[in-house]
Amino acid sequence: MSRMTRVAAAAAALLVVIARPLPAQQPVAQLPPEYGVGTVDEWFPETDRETDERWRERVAQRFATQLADGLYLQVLEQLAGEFRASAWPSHQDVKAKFQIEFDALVERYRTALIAAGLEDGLRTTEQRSSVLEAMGDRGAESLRPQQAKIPVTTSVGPMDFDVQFFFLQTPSEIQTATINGDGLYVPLVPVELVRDMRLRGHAVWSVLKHFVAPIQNAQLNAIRDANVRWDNYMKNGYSQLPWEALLNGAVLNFHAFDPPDKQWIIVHPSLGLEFSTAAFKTTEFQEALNLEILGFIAYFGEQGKNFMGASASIMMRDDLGPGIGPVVHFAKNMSLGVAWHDTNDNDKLDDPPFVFMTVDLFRFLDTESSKFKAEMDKVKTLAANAGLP
Amino acid sequence: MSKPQLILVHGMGDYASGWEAEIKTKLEECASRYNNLRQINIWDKIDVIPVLYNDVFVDAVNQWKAAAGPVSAFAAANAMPGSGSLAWLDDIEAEGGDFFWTAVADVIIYRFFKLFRDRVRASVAEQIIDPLLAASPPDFDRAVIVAHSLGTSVTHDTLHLLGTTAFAKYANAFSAPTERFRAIFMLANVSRVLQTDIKAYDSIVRPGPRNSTTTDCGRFYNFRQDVDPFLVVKRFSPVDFNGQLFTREVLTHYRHWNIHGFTHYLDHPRVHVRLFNKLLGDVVPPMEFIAAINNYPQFGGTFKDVPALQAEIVKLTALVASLGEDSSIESLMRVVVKARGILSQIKTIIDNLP
Repeated sequence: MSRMTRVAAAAAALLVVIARPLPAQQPVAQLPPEYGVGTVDEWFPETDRETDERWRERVAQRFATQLADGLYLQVLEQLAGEFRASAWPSHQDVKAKFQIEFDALVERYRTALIAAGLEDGLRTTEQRSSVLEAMGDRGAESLRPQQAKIPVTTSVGPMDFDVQFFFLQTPSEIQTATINGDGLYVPLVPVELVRDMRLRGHAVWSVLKHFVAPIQNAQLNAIRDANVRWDNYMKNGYSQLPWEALLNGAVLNFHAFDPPDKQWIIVHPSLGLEFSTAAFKTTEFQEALNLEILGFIAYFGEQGKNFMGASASIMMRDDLGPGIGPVVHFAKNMSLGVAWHDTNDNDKLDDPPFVFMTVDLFRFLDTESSKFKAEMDKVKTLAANAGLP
Repeated sequence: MSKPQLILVHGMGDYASGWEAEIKTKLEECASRYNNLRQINIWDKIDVIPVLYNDVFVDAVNQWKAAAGPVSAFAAANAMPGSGSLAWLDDIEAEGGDFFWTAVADVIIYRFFKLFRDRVRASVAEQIIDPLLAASPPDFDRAVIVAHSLGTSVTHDTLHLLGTTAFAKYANAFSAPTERFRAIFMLANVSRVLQTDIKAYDSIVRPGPRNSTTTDCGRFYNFRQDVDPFLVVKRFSPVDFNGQLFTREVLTHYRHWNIHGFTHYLDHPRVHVRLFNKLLGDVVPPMEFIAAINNYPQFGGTFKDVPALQAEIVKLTALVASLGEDSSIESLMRVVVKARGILSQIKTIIDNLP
């Protein structure tokens, strides 16, 4: 069946649908879903989806070639033409308003295509983005309804209830129902005509969705990627004490959903082990407290998995005066540094340096504490069983 | 048939995976009050998308407690940009105890720590967008968002960024009119008191006509419990929101000791009827809605006929009245901790009722 034949068949089928006698607009307690807030996908009967040419999936089938080639304007023009050719038995003013907005939508899309220089079809995500950008301060991209409130005087005083509008607060506004003083709905546009507008508006939405979906998917992937980088920064990177987190949040340049790729270190204490390079063969490790005064770390590699940085630090231990020196951060949990202590003559730099390793205490506890506690519990149990204190 | 999607965003406090179960149970109970919903399982007709961001605060608090020692150590950093003086945290921590660490600290961290704030926003953005785009067909117009307490601020900030930021090299494809949420319900809205870089009255998180480019939802509901201590300072009370699409109501009901609680808000017909109608398409007709309001007394459940409980409410009202529209966050947090004491007293009275 040619496309023209299919369109003619669709128009004929529609005429049969809307040529049925319209019911009187009587107040009712509840309206059909066509007047409601649910999208067409939520209420359009499965039985009609195979045959109704206005249903979005039928539209996608009818225009599969154009959609695959990114020729959205052709599809929109065709759909607008079909609506123009359809016959409404009543409410011509409503049809005229819908047609005005339909034509405006097509024209706005055409203008954006021309501005982007992409009238021959959209094949890449970049091209789609260019057209979306060119649409700029748009405002005619939807033929779908929404609900808005109307005031009703009730037994509990004035209340607001929602009814359906197309093109709310524009010259083309269409209100499809109202509510009377008894709290009953009164349809203002017959259900067949509301259904017609909703099916056509939904089909247009699905065409524009096809146009924008690749951009949305790319942007979702960007957000996913940002979250992995956030985890690498916040959970797998060098720990930040509250004042560091406060400082880094204030001074680093990052925005929207992306994490920073840098980190300042300031007044950051950690525990370490230190030994003197003067006697490697008889070296003895001594516990020491390392206090990083000021430092900087950069994150790099795939999704910011790796980091490297350095800081100026003070090393403090019981048996010697404070030492000073750099510390280098190159792996999760562990850092390596060199410090010069004054061991005998008030001149630190005369003495052989000490080498030290520090543990990122919070990261260590965060990742290893549960294992450590389990092992400790085992030892305690064994000790208790052996009658040890 | 495609289903509407209910996005739930929790507030401050200790939340973990599965937190939405309590909300679903409450909504089931509420649904059982109405003719069209009594006989059905509403979850056959609604997809629920729970959003969880408390894990970020748990990480932050663990670092804070494990590495930073007392809060005073943190307050020592109060001269840093954007923080203001935070020495008052010491007092609040001492007075609030666990409540400080499990709830108030969330608010403090989100408000003052850009690093954690932005991390929360990125996480919430993915949690909202991912399931919406995975649905068939992906259509934001099927999504209704219900956010509570701190979640209102988190939701507000995230949605604004989602709809205004160009990212991944492309023009923003999540902004209106391309995408528009069906409705947003804000329960105990603190988005103004906690606002930082995104101002609550200037953002796109507001209702607008379908083709508006500066609004991101079709309907916006804002509910405030009358003596909810969190909602006295910088109340969310915009004057330029679209009057036909914005509903703002003050609730005066008492059913549970935690009047700030998510489920306490949902219990009121003015809240849940609107929610059901937005999700399922006017399933509670106007006459039944009016009857539900008429039959919903101010004091219900355990509050009914217990003068001691109502006396505590009087105390709470007086405490909340000590705050003003322009009170500082410090004053607010002090009152919140004191209010928590009164609410605990209410809980004790309820627990000891025969």
